[in-house]
Amino acid sequence: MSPTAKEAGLAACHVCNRLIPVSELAATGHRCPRCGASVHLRKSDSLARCWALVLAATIFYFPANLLPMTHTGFLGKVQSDTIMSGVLYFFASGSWPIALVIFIASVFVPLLKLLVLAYLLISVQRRSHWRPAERTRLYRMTEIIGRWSMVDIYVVTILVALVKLGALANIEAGPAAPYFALVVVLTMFAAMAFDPRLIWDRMGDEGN
Amino acid sequence: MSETTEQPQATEVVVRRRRLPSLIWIIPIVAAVIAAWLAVKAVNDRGPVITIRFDSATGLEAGKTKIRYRDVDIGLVEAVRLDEDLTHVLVSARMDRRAAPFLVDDTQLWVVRARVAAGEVSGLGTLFSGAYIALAPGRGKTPAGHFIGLETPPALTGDQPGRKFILKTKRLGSLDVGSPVYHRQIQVGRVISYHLSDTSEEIELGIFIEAPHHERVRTGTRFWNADGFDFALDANGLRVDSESLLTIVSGGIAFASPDPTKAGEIAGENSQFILHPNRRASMEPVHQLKQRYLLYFNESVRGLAPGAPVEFRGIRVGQVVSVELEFDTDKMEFRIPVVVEIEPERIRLTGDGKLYPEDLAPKLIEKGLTAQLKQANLLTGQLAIALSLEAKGSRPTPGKNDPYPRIPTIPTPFEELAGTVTRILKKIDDLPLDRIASGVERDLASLDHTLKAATGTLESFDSTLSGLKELTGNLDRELAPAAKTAIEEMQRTLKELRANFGSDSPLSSDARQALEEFSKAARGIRDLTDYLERHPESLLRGKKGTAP
Repeated sequence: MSPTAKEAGLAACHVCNRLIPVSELAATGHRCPRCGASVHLRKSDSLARCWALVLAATIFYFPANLLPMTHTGFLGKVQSDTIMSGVLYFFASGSWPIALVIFIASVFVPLLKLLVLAYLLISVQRRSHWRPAERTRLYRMTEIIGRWSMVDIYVVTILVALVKLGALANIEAGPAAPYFALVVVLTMFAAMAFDPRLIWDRMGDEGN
Repeated sequence: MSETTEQPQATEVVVRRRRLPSLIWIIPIVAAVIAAWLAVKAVNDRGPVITIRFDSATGLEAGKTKIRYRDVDIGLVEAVRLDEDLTHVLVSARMDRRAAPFLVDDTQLWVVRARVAAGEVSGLGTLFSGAYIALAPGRGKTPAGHFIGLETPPALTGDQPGRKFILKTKRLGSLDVGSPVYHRQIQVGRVISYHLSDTSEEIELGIFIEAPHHERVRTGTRFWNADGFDFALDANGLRVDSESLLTIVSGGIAFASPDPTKAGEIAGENSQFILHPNRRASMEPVHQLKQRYLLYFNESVRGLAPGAPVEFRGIRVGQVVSVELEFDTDKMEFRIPVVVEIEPERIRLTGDGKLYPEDLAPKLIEKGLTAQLKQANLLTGQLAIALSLEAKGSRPTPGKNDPYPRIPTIPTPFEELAGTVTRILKKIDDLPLDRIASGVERDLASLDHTLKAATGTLESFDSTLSGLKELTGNLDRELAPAAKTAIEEMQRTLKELRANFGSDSPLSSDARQALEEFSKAARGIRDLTDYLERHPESLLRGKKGTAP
């Protein structure tokens, strides 16, 4: 196992990736001498922040899925749809590709993110040595796909803005929309708060 | 807490262990509070689940069909299933918590679909939005969870101000639940129910008059069936009566008070009234006292029907109730019992008042009252019964099985029945046809004379015409040459005129030159005014170009 920057007594700037000797950090006021960004050996309080955000997102995940996402008024008939009822509607009406996209983007991915983050947090806390490279890849994937869940919110906002035909057809956002947006945003923050280097730190514990 | 703090080599790093947990934990706490509030609200808002039984679930969908009161959603159908014996549909619905007070034992629920009936179109909105279940809160106090849904919208919901009345009738006609009730051709209510009476062979109609019109129903108010046309063929000719075009199709009831000054008091809830078959019948005075009498006729009663008038000296005192045919097996003979109803109150009694109306008829029978068939309508051959004191009849012997007292009858001579026709025939017979014929002959002869005289007149007219012709011949000969010269003279004058005023004549070219000069002058003036308009100062200072 190659030594980490931390073991070498170096801290990397999060922004410009300049390596700074830890001994010099106190002198520069924990700032990068090149770009002035705040420098830490590891993201501060990473696990606690990540846990808090994951927990909050998990709590909001329930109202986001149980409350109606849209109120669709069509010729005087108002219908309230949750995310799942929308998926079932598209599936029942034969448009299963759309149903699949909605399901993956709006139900599966947020849930997966929460589970992945929770797993990563637990594995780091338990000083797991199991497949650190795969876990790091999992983390990167989580960070990358996280933003795509926002598609659902965008679709709703666009529909609400477009379909304003008065009594003929009308779409309004339901109470689930803000909770769903919160779930997506909170999981994105949680993923940002997590420091993947912690995965490798544990490997170092074993190595030394 | 952070794991990054225990680093063996990074001794230079200042490690601060916070005693309080990170502020980031506020986020999940807030989330938990919001979620808890949502959960509590959801549980609180969940009202009771009710079940409604319908005959069929047409248009009802679980999870979609709403329950509405005054078009406000107060519940949602959660499940639609068949009951155990497969005869009905059970609909369970989750109600709003605020709807709980409405769910009492007499609350009415029905499915609102598009309904098109004569005179009424409702629920058109449901064509697009699908059916919904409407609710009409009851006035009861007992909360209930099971309801029997109505198949048709109730004609009356509990919360409408107004008053119910009961009408009794023998025939329903085209009346139905929802049929309108009119007062002075304005709809003020409707029929809400009808059923056969338990006690009599009549139909009891329940009607509802909306407030404030319910106060127009007085104890003396008459109701009548206003369905269709009311044809009446009587001595005044043909009369057609109808309440409105709508009632012709779908039936209706109208009411009015025959005499507004004697309308009586405001009728109370569930007051009973008689529904008269038509307006005319309803406006007739109602006589409480009706006495039935039996009349036996041995002759043909063709044209005598129930309802035919019973008259005394031409004034109606009652009507025929029934006409039947009876065969007496002992005597082997037919007779026709006719039951009549006499209303003695139609006769005004004067005198010292010792005789009450109910005693009048028996007294008259004692005095020799007889009944006789009488032609009532020559055209239709309808018969009436005429009572009289003049013709003496034998005192009737009361039969053993007579249900009513008898009035003796006297046979109507055939001549009297057919008398009118006979009289007409006789009159035709009596016409002096031969005298008319001879008169016509005389007239023809005088006409002949007249014609001959006319021929003479025509001849003299002919000679006058030939004289006239001669006169015109003379005129032609003497006047024509003179006229010709006059015309030639005129032609010459015109030619000279043309030479003077022709296009190339001197006069005309002079005039044209003058006109051209004039137009030039006009142009000069226009230039001047234009210039002045642009340079008004030139009036004072002169033209700019020439100014020094």
